Amino acid sequence: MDKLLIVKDLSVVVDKHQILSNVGIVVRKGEITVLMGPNASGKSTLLYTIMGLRKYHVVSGEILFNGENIVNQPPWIRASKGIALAFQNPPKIPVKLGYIARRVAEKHHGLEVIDKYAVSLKLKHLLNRNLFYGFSGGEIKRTELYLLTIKRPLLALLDEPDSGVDIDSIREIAYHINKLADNGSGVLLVTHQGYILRYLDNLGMGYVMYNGRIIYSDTAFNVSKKVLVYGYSRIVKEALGG
Amino acid sequence: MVIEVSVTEALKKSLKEVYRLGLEVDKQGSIILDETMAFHRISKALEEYGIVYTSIRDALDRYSDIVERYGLKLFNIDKRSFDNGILLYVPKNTRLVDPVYTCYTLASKGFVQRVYNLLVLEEGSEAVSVTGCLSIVPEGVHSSITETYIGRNARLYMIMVHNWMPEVVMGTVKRVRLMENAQYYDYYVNLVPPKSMGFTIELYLEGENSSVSSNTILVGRRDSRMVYTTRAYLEAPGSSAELVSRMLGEDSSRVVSRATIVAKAEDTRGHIECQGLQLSNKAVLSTTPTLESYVENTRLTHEASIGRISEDELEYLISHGFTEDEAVSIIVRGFLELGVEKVPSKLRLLIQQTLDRLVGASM
Repeated sequence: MDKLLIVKDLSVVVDKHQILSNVGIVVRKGEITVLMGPNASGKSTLLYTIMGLRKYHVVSGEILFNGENIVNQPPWIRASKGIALAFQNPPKIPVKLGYIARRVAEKHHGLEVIDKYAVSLKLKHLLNRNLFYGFSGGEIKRTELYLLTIKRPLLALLDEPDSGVDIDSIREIAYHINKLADNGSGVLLVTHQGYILRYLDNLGMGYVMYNGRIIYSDTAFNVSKKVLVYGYSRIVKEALGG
Repeated sequence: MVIEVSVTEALKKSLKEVYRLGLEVDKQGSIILDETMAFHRISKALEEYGIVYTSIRDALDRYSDIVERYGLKLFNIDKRSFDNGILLYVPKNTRLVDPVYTCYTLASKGFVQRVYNLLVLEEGSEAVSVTGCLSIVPEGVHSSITETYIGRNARLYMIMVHNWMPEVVMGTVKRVRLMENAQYYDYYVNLVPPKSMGFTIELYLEGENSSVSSNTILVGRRDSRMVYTTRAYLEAPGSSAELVSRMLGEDSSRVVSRATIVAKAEDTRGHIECQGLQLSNKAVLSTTPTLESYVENTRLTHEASIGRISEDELEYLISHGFTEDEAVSIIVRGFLELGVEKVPSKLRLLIQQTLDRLVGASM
């Protein structure tokens, strides 16, 4: 399958601290690529850097999206090319969800789908509420997926869409992630515990990140199995020796 | 029985300036342009239903009984000093379904415009009043006094859109009396701020279970000085007031929003919400919510905040594909969106468009 995203030897500095070192991953179209790792290992940093958020400075390496190095492009250009990010903990914004959804959809020619996805993600009741004010954990994740889906992205970066939500919500979220991949999007999914993987189809490669480096990779299925059976500490020990 | 009155007579006037306020004057309603009365036809049509909509000068001649009975009560003013103004009188059980548009323009330089308005809604009646004030000259003084009487079970919506010029000075005082079960809804937004503005609204809830909702958007730009004061007196049991304001501080403007609710009767409720968004280091925003109670059984609350747009909020919207300027405008537009759902549906679009232009102008 086609390589949509190639991250090559990527090193990233945030506030003068090096967070990522020589990271390399590949995301293919129509596949769900999985990035796992213990807390504070740099998983979110990788997603934010691919999106181009300003705090994240690339000191070396390349981010090739459809063959083009996008390292020097601002986030809105990357978004216009089809990259979208769903945050793990998005900030509260005193603007109604419905208004933001409309503006996002206008930007990405998605106006005709905003109602459809609001219904399928069970968000209609939140459209008149300020974004993330008093939303439950599941509602936050579904809203993030909603704003991402209406952009119909080529590459969907999902930061822990399964954290802090109940089992029914996880199934529902997995259903929509599967649909993204079915429609040809490449998905880069960050998950800490990997529980959601049992509901996902089209799984591609899996990576384990530790201390800003990729220390292990295999198929996503094998990676998640290993994490569930052995835990991160043993994988780290095996990879780094000692 | 309630009579519904619709103003279908269309008045077409080539007043392009009026469109700057977004008022659809050619569709319905009327215009007052200084001395020129352009609303005789509508006035005539409404007269058949006992509705009086005329200039205050005409009212002093022909309807002095109404003016004496309801007006000139709360102010010690000389009625000979009015340059302009209107009387709107809606008789018992009559609903004026179309909005009544009134537009004041300050059209000659250095002119001092003194306006007196009287609005009377008798028992069980309803009206929507839309007022636009604009100046087409850079300097001048606009001073206005409005007295409003809302009878038992009557309801009044009052929408005000102001568009001033940099050197205009304006002062407005409004007093509203509400009888039993009466409702008053007030919406104010200024598109372009004047040099200095003093706006005071006093709301007297004299009847049981009467209620008011006041929504104010104050946009400070350039070096304008604006002071907006709202006071609600809950004088009858069961009465309630909600005073909400949004302040935007741009350039080196100074905006002051003061809101007071005084509870003088049992079973009353009051809530004040003041929020300020500071878009410039040189702008000064100030808000003072005051709650005062003279009774045991009342519930008065307030929340107030002033802040800037946070880096996280900007970053989040930028990641959705917006430039920094677009992200700021989205947050500002969302911030200003208040109380629109309570406006009669016919006017929602007017307000939405006004806010869109407001944000467009600030970017």
